[in-house]
Amino acid sequence: MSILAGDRVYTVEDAPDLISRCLVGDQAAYAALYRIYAGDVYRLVYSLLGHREDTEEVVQDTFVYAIKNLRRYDREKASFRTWLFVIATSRARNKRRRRWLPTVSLRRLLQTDGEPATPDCGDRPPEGELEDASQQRTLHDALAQLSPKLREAAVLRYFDGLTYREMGHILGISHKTAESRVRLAHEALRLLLDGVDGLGYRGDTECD
Amino acid sequence: MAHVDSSVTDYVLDLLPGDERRAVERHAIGCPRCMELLATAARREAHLSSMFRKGMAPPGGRLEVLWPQVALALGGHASHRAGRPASGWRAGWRMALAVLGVGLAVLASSVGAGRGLDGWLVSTYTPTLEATPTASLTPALSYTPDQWSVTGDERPVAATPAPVACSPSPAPSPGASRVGQ
Repeated sequence: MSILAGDRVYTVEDAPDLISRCLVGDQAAYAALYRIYAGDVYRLVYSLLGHREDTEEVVQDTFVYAIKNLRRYDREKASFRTWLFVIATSRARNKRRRRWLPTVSLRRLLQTDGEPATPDCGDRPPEGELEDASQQRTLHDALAQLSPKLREAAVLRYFDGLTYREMGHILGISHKTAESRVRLAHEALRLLLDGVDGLGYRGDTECD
Repeated sequence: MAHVDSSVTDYVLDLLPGDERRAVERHAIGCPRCMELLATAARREAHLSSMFRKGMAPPGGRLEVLWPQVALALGGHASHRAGRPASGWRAGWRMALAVLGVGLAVLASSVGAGRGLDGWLVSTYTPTLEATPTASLTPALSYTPDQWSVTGDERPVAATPAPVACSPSPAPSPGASRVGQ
């Protein structure tokens, strides 16, 4: 997908060059960097906050801060995506604290805010994807019922390619603590999703 | 090795040390029950991950709508980094404030010269706030939805308008300075 008229499509491999261009004020490079990473940042933040409007604010804040402070990014310490996730997670935490969100059902939160009773997943899925949409809502509700710490761990777990060391870096904890939280989150989700078609955790099989 | 029930969670979460992981796999190769257990757990994790990524994705086209605000906030930063004179709405406001400052200085000197305020306040500048803004709504770093390749079922989105500035009334009286332009 083109970024601006006439530009080529950029990928993660182009990030180092784009970062260098951003450092000298290349606005096209800003847009390209945004285009590459905005989707992942959005998914992360929405998973943590469960609120579209707040998510959009945090996504915008994240990229404004990141691009303005690119000189602080050290590619030796972490990948650019991990660095973005550190910023986004911090801002999501601040946003959540300001809203004083308790750990309650996401469905109830959305009704309180005047939004639709179901999470905003865009237009109604076409035929054949209704089951997926239902499972996504169920998963979203389950994540919302986790404590913030376990929710963060579970959310990062489902991003491909993140090691426990990277998760610990993003969350500001040791990788051992990250492992422990992921294990606890996994167990909590197992209990919440037990019996849900397609997502449920069936009981242990009998010994032969 | 005993059945792997107690190790399934750590296995699918990549929490087992290398040698333990290999031991679990060696056992599963010779035990259909445990092989099925591991395979089921792995499929479930993969499916959860897929559902997660789909469900948390932004609505179609939404990220493109968010970009102009980011670009606007970075406009001054970009000019500063490149060493060029500031551009964009921040520079426009700075210019407006500078002109206002000059105008106020002229006003003060005229008042001091005894001209009085009436002539200035009544006839020379009448800001208007029209119901339909006349100023351009194009953001400083303009884009149109066409610049983002819209495919498939993405919804068309509208550009986010920039703040509207007051437009001064036209044709001031001859000889009078324009304040606030």
